[in-house]
Amino acid sequence: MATAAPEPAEAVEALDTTVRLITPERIAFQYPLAGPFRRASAYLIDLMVLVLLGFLGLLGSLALSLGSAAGGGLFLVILFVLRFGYGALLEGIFNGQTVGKRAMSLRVVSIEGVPIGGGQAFLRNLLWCLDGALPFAYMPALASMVLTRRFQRLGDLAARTMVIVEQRPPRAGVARPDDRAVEALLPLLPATIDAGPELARALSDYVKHRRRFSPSRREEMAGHLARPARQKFDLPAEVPGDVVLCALYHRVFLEG
Amino acid sequence: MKVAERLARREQIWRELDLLLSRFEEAGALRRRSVPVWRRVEPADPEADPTAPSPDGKIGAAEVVRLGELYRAACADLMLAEAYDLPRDTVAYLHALVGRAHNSLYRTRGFRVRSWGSELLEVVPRRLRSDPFLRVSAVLFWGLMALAGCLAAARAGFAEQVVGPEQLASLEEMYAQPLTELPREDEFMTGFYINHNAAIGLKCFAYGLTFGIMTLYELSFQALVLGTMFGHMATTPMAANFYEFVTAHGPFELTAIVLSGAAGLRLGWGLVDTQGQRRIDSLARESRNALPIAGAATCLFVLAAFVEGFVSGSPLPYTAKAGVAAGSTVLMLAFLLLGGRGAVRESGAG
Repeated sequence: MATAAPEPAEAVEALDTTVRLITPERIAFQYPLAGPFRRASAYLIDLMVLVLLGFLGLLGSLALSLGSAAGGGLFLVILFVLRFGYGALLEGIFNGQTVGKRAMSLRVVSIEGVPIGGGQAFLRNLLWCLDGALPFAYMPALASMVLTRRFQRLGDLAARTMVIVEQRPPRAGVARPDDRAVEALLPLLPATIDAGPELARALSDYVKHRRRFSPSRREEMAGHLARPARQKFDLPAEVPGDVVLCALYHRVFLEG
Repeated sequence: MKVAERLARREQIWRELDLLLSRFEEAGALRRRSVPVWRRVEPADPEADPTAPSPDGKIGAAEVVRLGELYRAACADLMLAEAYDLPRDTVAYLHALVGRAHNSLYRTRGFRVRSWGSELLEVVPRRLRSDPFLRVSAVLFWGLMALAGCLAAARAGFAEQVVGPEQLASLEEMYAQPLTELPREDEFMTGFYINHNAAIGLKCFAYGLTFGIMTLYELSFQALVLGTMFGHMATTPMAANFYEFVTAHGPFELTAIVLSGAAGLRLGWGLVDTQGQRRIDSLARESRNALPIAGAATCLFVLAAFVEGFVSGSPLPYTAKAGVAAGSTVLMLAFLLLGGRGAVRESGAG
């Protein structure tokens, strides 16, 4: 089971809303944290499910009791169980996901990254009594989410849990900017380029996103890096910056 | 070696892990159940590929072992990917993949009925015996209730000012007739009491998060209103009917309120006295300790609701109702004084 990575004392941590965990395999990996808006939409879905379940409960208890007052009692018990048990039971059994969270691909985990236990699930859902619509119209939850680094509402704080986004980014592979102009430029570059981490990252980000921009915008963005590259490798000045960066990318990632 | 080639070599492992994870996630908590007939897949040759989906759709040991292998491989790849500055989307993909695998391997333990039972019957009474919050809550609740009762019985205008004349009128009207002549709706009233009273108790606990202030308010409010009603009804001609109704479920219900108040106060005090921990951690510690007490209170509320619905309003003779009250008091005293006196077992689950 994972542990939360110790907060680095001096190292500048990225401003991203991610949380870093260290697994027993001594691997650190990141989860994106779920913010208030994503969680609110999951909550709305859960509310709809609750209304539906409540309606089904009403129908069921009416049918079972043939419309006598006992059915009303059963319905009230169902309401109570739904109100306090829905989130807790689903999160406890289905590994930290309710219907809404599953639809929004969210998951509740404890802040050490380990799955939540039944007690934690009950506690964090019980505290909806304070976080929720009554008595303060979601304000405690919202304020607490904004003020804490992990977007925790009060229930999360008490139960030591957080809500993460479980992403499934598509596997794109390595981009291959095949172009005549790029191939023509390759012989002019040195055989190996020692690209540091920042240059490598900048190149891969640029090549991944360049298709989304118009040629003039590409030129403007690539210019910052292409200008020093032209000077360093003695490239002809008329080669567009876009082609220079693609050639660099080709050498670093596809041949390096 | 080229980065692209290096990635292509590992690509296959990641895709296999991705597929396997999808199956694990689909099976989810119902991993041991067999898959319905219409979703079963074609049986594959188990000799060639031990992780091929079995015909009945169950996830077997071979898959779990394979998942472990693939997970470790993906972990190693992630480390290398970060160290060698692979393209950012590859790193992001690996982070997500490792995260998903981690969540599939380390799952919630779910609800263990037995460990919760031992928690309720052994740990809770042990904790309650030395619980200062239980004493505070009990003294506050029963003290205020007795005070309000005396005042309402002794002073003429007190009850009207505290509860309001309409409420009092409806209360008097409710108990104007003997209980035997009232329409009986046992099941409905039981459901109503569970929904209404247990929710009050759980709220009382959750409100502890406001440094215990709202718990104190809720506890005092309930004590004053209940005390005033008790005191006022003693001065009216309906006293006999009223006291006959409240006798049977009174012990359970009043104790339940006190218990949930104690749990809420413990939560609030965790925020005040941090015992050297950070305030957040202190809150988490005390809420873990207080949750079983709130659970015990909920059980008492449910018991009280059943007694209230089926015994209190029933035409049973008063002695039987008093017997129920005495029995429930003895039961709770036994729970509080004798529960968890046996040898302390080392609990495995935290």
